[in-house]
Amino acid sequence: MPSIRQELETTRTARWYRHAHGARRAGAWAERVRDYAALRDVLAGHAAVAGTEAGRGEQPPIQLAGLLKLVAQRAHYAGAEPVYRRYRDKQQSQPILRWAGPDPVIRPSAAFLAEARIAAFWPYREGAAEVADAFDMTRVEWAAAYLRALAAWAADNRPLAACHPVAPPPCVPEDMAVIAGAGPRWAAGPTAADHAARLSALAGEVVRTVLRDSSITPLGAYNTVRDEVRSLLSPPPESLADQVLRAVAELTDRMTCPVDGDAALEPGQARRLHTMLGGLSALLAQQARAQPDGYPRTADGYLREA
Amino acid sequence: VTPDAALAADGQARAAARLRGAAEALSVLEHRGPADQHAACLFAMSLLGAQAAQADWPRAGLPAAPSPGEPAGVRIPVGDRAVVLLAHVAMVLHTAAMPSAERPWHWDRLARFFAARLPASDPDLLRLRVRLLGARVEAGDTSREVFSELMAAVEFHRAGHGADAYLTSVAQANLSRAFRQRPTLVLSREPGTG
Repeated sequence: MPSIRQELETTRTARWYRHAHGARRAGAWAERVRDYAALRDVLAGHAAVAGTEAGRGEQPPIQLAGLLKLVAQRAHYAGAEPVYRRYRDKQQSQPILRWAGPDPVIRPSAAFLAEARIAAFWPYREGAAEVADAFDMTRVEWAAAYLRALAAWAADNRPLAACHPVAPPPCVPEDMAVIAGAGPRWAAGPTAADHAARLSALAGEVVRTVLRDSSITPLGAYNTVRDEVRSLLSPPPESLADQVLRAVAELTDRMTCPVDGDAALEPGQARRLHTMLGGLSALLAQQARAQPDGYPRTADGYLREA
Repeated sequence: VTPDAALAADGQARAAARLRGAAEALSVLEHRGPADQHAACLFAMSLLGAQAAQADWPRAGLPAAPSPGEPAGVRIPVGDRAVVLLAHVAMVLHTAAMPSAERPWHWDRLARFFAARLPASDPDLLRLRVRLLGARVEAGDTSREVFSELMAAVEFHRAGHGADAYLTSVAQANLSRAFRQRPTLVLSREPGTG
């Protein structure tokens, strides 16, 4: 069974990143890196102006018209066309296909912003994944490590995170699907896909928390969603019936095979258990007989009134 | 901005960002047992040894960083934020299982180490100082000096981030924790109030 890190290396974005970053495309990747660097400069300049108008410590959303043109100017291209070409839906002869794919509905500026966020977040993701894998983290720990790394990214790249639409890098939903994917599947509860969707929403909340308060640490931002993350990824509590079954099996073992001659029960305990189990046994017999009749029951097993 | 220049700058930024991600993940291990905390601290030191510019980490109160097995590529300066934060996490892990009385010495070494490399107003240096003060309070030191530094931290964050900011509330919590630790509280009387 592949580890979480191995699964994270096979997401669509991970494959795109490896392809884009590949040695044979180094020149094309360098052009993209130049675009991303120019975007950071453009956004930083805008954030410095906008920040003085917003509340102290708050990073307001940034929406810039003609983003790719501004980037091309900042990167000192003769015109905007070389930049547009890289991020438009028609990708003939491009050495690196855009992350957003060929969907014409996705505008070049949106495709560019998505890639810039992915590229900026990727090393944070790699650093967290390396540690999480080395220490065989549980799913809850993985989520904590990932979301804290995401908060660090948002804190270090506030204007990029605040660029409209304010959102985490678009690789987050895929990654959350991996982190939640092999998690506990509850027969009557939400599915793993629902958990992944909720974790992605919480990741968005982490980013927005960072943007609201420049002083918040990654731990502080993660703590705002920690309880829900834990409840989503922790194994469900054992039902009462399962606890009794486990205890009965263990007690039976210890009575039939005592360790070092230790009696598992005192005579008084044995009498009390015998009395209680006798009553429970009668109730169980009743319940077992009543089950197959198909009458509607409430969750606790009682018949529901028509 | 040429593609080559952008790529070179990007290499260092990426290495620093990778350390940032690793530091956050290592922080999660603070809640594990002493053996894992120790292993996580050594992992942090191996990252510092491989990625950061050479430094005398034992002088900073940390274990020595193992020398990297392969020639280092990009070296991040010791004063870079990513290195400061990773060293901070390494110290949290290093001191986690220590008796309270031993911790202040280590935090003091780390704070002094970075004080020689960062501007006095650097917020991460202040966080190290506050951590040192917390360690001193836990070790039973509730001297006037500790209180005045904790109060200064509250004022620093209130002035810099606002009264409702996260770090202001953390600084206030640190101060109130110190007050709770203090065995007897002697309030100075204001002049003219009888």
